[in-house]
Amino acid sequence: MIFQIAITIVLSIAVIGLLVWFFNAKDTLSKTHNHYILTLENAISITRFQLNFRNENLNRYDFQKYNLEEALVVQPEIILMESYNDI
Amino acid sequence: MKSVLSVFLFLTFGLSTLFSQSAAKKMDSLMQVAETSNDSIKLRHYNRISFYYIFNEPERAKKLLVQGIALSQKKKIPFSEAELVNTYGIYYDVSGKSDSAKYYFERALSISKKNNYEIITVMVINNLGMFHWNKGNYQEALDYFFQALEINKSKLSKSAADTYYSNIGLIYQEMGLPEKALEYHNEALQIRRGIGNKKDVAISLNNIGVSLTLKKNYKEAEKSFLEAIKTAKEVNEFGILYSASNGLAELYILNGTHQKAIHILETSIKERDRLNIDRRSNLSAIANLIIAYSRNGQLNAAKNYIEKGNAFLVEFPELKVSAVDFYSAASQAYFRDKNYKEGNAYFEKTLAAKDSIFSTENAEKTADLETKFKVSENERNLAETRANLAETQLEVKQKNIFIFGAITAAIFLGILGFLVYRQQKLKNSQLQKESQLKTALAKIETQNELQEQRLRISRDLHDNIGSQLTFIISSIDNLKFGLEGAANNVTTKLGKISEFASQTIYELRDTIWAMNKTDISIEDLQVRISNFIEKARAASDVNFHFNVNKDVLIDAHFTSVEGMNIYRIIQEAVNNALKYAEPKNIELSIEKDAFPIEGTGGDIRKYRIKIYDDGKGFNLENSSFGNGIANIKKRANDLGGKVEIISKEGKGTTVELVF
Repeated sequence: MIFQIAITIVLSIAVIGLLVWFFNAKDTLSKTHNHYILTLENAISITRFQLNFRNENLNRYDFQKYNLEEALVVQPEIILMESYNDI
Repeated sequence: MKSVLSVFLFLTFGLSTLFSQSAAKKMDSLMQVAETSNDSIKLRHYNRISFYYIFNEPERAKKLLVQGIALSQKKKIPFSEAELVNTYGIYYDVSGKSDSAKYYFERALSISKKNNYEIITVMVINNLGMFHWNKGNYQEALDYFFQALEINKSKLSKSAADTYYSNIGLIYQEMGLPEKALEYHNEALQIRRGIGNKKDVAISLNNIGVSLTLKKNYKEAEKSFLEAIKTAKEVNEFGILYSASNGLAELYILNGTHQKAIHILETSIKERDRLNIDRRSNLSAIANLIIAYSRNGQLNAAKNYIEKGNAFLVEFPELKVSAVDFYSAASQAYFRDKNYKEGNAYFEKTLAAKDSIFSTENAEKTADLETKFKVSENERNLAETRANLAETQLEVKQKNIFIFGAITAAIFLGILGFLVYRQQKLKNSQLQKESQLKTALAKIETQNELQEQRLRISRDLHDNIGSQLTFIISSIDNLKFGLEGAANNVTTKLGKISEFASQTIYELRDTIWAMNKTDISIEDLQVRISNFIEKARAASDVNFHFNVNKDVLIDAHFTSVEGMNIYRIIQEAVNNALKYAEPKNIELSIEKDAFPIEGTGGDIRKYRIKIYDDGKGFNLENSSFGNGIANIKKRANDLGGKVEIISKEGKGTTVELVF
């Protein structure tokens, strides 16, 4: 009987320890993941904005006025050849 | 009893050397050392010395033990107190004072248990087992030995359990249960083999031989005795060797191989005499030898040993029990020789010897013993039942513990597995999401960078080539101005070059735009055409009608090049109408129609764009078309379609583009 009680206590402690450890690990994992996702989403959002900005300017081109100067707006903040992997 | 005592001594101290001649001297010097040592060591020496004196000078042992116990109590050294009280119990047990022995054993047990001295506890429990065994209380003895075994297995070295297994086996042997005895003797043997103590291995093999003989398994018993003899020889344990030899000889007499028994017994007797090892045991061997010889028909040899036996009895007159066996064997030998006179004489000696043993007092004792035997027989049966029950309970307990442990381990592993699975699942889903986003980002960034790169190249083209073309136009215009009054064909040519350069700039701009713009919707194109029409209407008195059929989906898309070509065709056609036809109305329509596919019977839906003016028209055959119409055709070709111009003088012109 003592053996059973001892084993039950040890098991309970071990299970509680396991649960705490796993919940901490899950929490850390979620935080890291959320941060990374946020970074990726920000990068996508910035890129979308740049694409829209370029497209809107190109839409301003008037076949009558030939206003290419106004349509071709360079976005100097875009560093060419930079990879998303650098995030 | 002798084997019991030897086990008892071995377990308690394992010091057989104490019984040698030099032991007395050793004890004296040990006593001197004890007097100069500290209390703890002194008490341990007292214990060893007093144990020696129990068997040699009991009174001195008692005095030393009382002194030691008092000192241990005064100095508060419970370990020594427990040890000395236990030895005091042995003193009383050896003295035959059972009640006192039991009291002191139990007191020693109480002290050692209270202080958790496992070594002393197990020793005292064993002594209590021996105490009950000696009294014939097999049940109590077994209980104590099983307790000692349990403590040894759980708290002390498992390898020390051999003695308890052996003792339990001996009890079962005495109880006439060779099957059970063998079980425990084998356990003891296994442990002893593991330890490598050959002396104890030989003892266990001898015990197994005896049990197997009781079981009438003579073949296996012979093997066991032979191995016991061989092992005892290896370690020069002659006492064990001759015990095993006698056992083997008795076995041979029982199974009728008398010659073998004779050889063994003769050797055993000679060697005991030669080495002077327990020579008293030779009388029993002589009795067996007489039986073997007489049963084998060698009556003269039997008579020789009868004489030797008589000589032995002169030397050791106290061997009354063995004498009964000897006289009986001699009587049988003479009867076989048909010497009835001698046979009767020895028979009478047998009876006389029995009478001397079984005197009135002995008879009473025998009666007591018989009663005790009957009681112990019942106890034995009870003990067997309880031992079986205890074993079953132990097995059930062990099984339960195993099942509980297995379930616990399974639960733990299950929870661990579940948690690992959940975490892995979470990781996978996170990785999947991250991977999707990374792929999307990579795609959109690549697209963005490509577009930006294209835009920057376009910008460079526009800035460099555009400005250079502008410079050319400006230079040509300056040249024209400078050549005022020159030949007409030169200025016309220069004008055409300037116009061509201007056209090139416009086309370059359109191309650059189309290169950067991926597509253009119908809606956007419609808005741009409407704007163009509005400007044209403002610059002329012409009525414009612009219609987009409902079949044309508003959210349909053209590529930017297609969109640009459509726009330029419409622009060129409208400009031509305004420039040459002097129309009142210009109608523009965009629709989508089904066109048959040649040879298939099916059809395909294509765009149809119509520009109609109600101007003066022209004769297609007599007219020479300029760059405008050529451009329209080229652009229609680029769209993968066809353009048709229908015109009659005075009936207006229709330009129809199908693609």
